Amino acid sequence: MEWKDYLLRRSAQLLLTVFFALIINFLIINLAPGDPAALMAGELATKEYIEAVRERWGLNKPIPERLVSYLLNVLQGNLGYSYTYLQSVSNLIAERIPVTLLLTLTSSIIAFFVGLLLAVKTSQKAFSKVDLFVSNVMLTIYSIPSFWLGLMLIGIFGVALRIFPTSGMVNVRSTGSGVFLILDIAYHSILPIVTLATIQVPIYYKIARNTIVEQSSEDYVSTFLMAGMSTSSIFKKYVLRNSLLPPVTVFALHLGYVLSGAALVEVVFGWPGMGRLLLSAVYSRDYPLIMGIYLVTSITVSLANFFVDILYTLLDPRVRYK
Amino acid sequence: MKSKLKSDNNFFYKYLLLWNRFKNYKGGLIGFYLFLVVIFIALFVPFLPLCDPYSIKFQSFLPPSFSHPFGTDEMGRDIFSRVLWGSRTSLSVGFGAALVSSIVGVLFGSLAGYVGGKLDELLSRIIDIFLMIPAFFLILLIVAIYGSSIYYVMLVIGLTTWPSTARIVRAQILSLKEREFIYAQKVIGSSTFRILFVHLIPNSIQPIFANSILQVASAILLEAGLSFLGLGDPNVVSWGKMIYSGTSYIFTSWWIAFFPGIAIVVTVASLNLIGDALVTILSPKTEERGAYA
Repeated sequence: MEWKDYLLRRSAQLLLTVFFALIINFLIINLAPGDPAALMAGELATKEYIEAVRERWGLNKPIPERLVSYLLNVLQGNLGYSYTYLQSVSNLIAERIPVTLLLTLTSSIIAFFVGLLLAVKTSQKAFSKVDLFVSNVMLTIYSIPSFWLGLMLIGIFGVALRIFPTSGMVNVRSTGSGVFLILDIAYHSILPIVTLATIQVPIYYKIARNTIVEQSSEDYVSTFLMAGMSTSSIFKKYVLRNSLLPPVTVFALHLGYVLSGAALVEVVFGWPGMGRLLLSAVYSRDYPLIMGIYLVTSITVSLANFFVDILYTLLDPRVRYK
Repeated sequence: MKSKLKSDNNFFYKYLLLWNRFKNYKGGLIGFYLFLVVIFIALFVPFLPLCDPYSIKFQSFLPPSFSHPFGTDEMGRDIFSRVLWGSRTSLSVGFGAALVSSIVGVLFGSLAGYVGGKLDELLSRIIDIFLMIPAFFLILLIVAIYGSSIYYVMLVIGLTTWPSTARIVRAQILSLKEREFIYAQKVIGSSTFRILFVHLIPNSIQPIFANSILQVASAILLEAGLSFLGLGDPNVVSWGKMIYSGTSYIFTSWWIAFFPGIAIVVTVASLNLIGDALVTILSPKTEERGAYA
């Protein structure tokens, strides 16, 4: 019963968040200086087209009615029409999602395991020299701008050593297909994935290390020690297991950012994903496209948050009673 | 009057204690000294014997040498001078944004924590919702539509990152408001405003302080990202913008993008090292264990 209540409350919150994202989107475009219909229609639009846009989105009506027609449009999956790509915004976004996922999912998984492994190695001697050193190195890596790291990797491995391609997702000169195409994409994706994984490792390292250190000082550890269990088997059987939940949570929360998190790196590597799409939309002031991407991203993030919370209550019953 | 003096003393004494413990953290201390250097450069760069960062009188694409330690860029400007001047932009955006975020966060958080009840419920929901909104995209969107003066960038970053401060303040106030000295204030009839601003908020400032330092770091990274995308203030020297212009010349002149990036890493890392040490010191769990000491 309690769990049902929780689920209900959490769903209400999810809806509220999505609604809020919609409102922000709506306000940004409606409060922007100038005529919103002209903004939505683009710089090259004819007068007739601007009028058509005004009609479609109800921009000639007062604000509350406008909001209703905006919400109705979005509910029907109509995110507008991009005048720079001459395609519907929802199509454009759907096309780019898998391209971006290839980078973000792979790099998140790599970063998760590398961070966890490092944390396991260093946290067993918490506050030792090695532990403090690795912690500070991780903080420094955390301070590197992703786009700069990518650019430097291009400079080293692409330009100086000529091992990896410097840009794009496929070699434009080769017309490979099937296995060759897949290999080509994999080859092109190595540097961007390394970049994204590197800047994410500190996040997983930190949360995993702190949890392990915390768990190691719990009473049950000293009890087992007194009972004569070896430190390593306590660690393997109990401490590590109890420390997995927070890093897994962070991983899941990060999945919310899989669509937007790579934007800067995509730009550096000329990777044709969501980030680049957004940027070209920003440069050409393609408002429907910008707003569509923003909306899809915020909804993904809210959904990821929602599922993490629900998953948490299933894995850890204590959370429910909060 | 007497009691105010005493609480003031207490306030400074607390910071002395904090510094004494901070000294034991090597990483934090290195960060602190690095940061002093950065601050010094930002404050005194107009008085340093440097070339004009905007002057285009030199030859383009000169590699690093004795007269141009970081080389020159595509327009023949001295990169060393530009990197030093860029510290002003980064630090002002960083501190400005963190200030805005702290003010809004403290107001929201203390109201929610002190008043409690329905208002707390409402404000907490708003905080939760704001925490879920991807800040970078929102900032990008707003700056793209409304323009990108440096003050605007500050304000927008600050207004999208305040919820984490608000959460911390709320938790602090919740635990502080049950303490005796607050009851005493209520008994002698102090106003809510006075209790909040004279007693509760100053006493919960330390954790906010640690969090704000980390926020300065992330604001600097955000500004760099925005400028890299060409959405920063076009009228100031900015590290992100310098890296952006270096992108086109990575095949021939690596130094154009390299040095501004190093400047970002040094500045942001120094803040992160300080912030992380402070967070460790101030978390109640470390206090018990006496770690590091």
